[in-house]
Amino acid sequence: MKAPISSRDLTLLSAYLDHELSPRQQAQLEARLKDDPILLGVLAELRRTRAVLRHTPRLRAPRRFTLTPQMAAIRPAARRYPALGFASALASLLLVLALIGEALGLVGPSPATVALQKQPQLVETISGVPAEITPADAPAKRSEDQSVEEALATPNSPVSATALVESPPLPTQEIVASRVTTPTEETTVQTLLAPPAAGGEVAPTERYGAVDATTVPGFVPLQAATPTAAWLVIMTVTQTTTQTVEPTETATALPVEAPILPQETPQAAALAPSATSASQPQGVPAPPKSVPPAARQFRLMWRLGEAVLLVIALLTGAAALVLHLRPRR
Amino acid sequence: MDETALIRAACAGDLEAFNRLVMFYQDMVYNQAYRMMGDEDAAADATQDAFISAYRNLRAYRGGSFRAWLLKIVTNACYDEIRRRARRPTVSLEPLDEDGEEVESPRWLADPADGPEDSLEQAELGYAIQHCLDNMSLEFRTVVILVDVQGFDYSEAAQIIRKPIGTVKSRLARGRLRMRECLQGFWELLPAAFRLKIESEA
Repeated sequence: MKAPISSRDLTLLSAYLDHELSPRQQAQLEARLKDDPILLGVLAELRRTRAVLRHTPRLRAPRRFTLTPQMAAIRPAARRYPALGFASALASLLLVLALIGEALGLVGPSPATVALQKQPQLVETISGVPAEITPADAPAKRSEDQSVEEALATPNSPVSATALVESPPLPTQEIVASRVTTPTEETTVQTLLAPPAAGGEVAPTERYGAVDATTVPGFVPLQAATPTAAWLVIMTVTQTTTQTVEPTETATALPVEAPILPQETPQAAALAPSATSASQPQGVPAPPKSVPPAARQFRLMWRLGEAVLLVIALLTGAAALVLHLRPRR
Repeated sequence: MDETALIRAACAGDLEAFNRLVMFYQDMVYNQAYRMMGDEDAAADATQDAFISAYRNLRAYRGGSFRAWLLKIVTNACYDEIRRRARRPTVSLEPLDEDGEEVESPRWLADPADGPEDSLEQAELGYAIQHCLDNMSLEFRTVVILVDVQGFDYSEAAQIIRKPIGTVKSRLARGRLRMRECLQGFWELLPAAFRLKIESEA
């Protein structure tokens, strides 16, 4: 049902009931009310409605709403959650970074290395391949190795190339054993190859010789502690082994990867003496530990950071859980 | 009760002084919340929230009508709760009739107990008013409750809802018109003596 008057008149009548009109507005409205029964009727209904509303029963509060010290001390949760959210985000970000670092092998032992260390049979399986080569197969295998070694030899190192060809054939097991016991790049090369001639240019040959040594399974750096080095060695061994059995492989392909290993090998072998002992013959001394202090310090700092990160994540999670489970009031 | 001294003490951290203010105003605040929300539990929650918020923001009180300041807080709390309910509608627990329609104000339609007649009339009137308030828009409802139920003047109502006095006048006039239309259906149900009493006071 609509009011039979305008909205402005309705507002005037309502305000007139509450004496909220100016004297001039009140006088004008009262003059109209004398002549307009409709206005008078609406005014009467508004007055009655207001009277009904003023008789609205007053309810008593169902309980006391006084504040306890605990209620007064409650801080709005919205003030805390952003800080917790920031801490959680920071912790999550750092955790992701740590996991990425672990996955890339930048820090700490990777799962692959741990698996290698915990399962020496994997290394032994690789290093055990030459043992399956019968003495009858040895000359053929050695000839393949020689052909590859000749391909690896650089043109400017005739002495080493000659040494490769003229080196006496060693029994396969001896090669493996000698390589296992050799902690350094130089001794590996010297054992694998014939001793270089006095005054000869040894350095380039040693580099390629060391690479060539990896073509024979059982290469020591497989047990390296540094995951990156270990994976590089494993991958390189696989690749170079494949390349060895392929007669069409060109000589220029191998030296591209070859310089990587001698740089990784000494450090990697030195970092994991315990793993080396898995395939080490009895009586052979373990390679000395020679971790650079900077690397050790970096690893220590990283471990410390991980511990702090773990503590932050635990505290943040516990605080968020407590605030979440805590009664709001 | 020296309201100013209690407010000053509460500002200084005297919780006891603030609780004395709470005891004095809690009925008014609860009535405002109940008439706005139409639900006892929700009104109690809004009242408690309002007092907690008032205590925490007591330093923001710049003088003037303290009860208007309290009513502003509880009105805002009711607005927030009503909007939250609008975003997350809940299933009504009101009983349904044979046609599956919701029975309005079951307490109002219930057979009254053996109480005094005045109390019954008051209760029926209260339920009728609440029913009409619930069917009105929130803006009109708030102003009608503030002015006609709580007895605030226009300037206080304007301060509470933070609108100009002209807006209060307009909303109140239209709200009263809606209430008149709604209450007409219940008017004849009220006892004649009670109607005469209201007519005489009008």
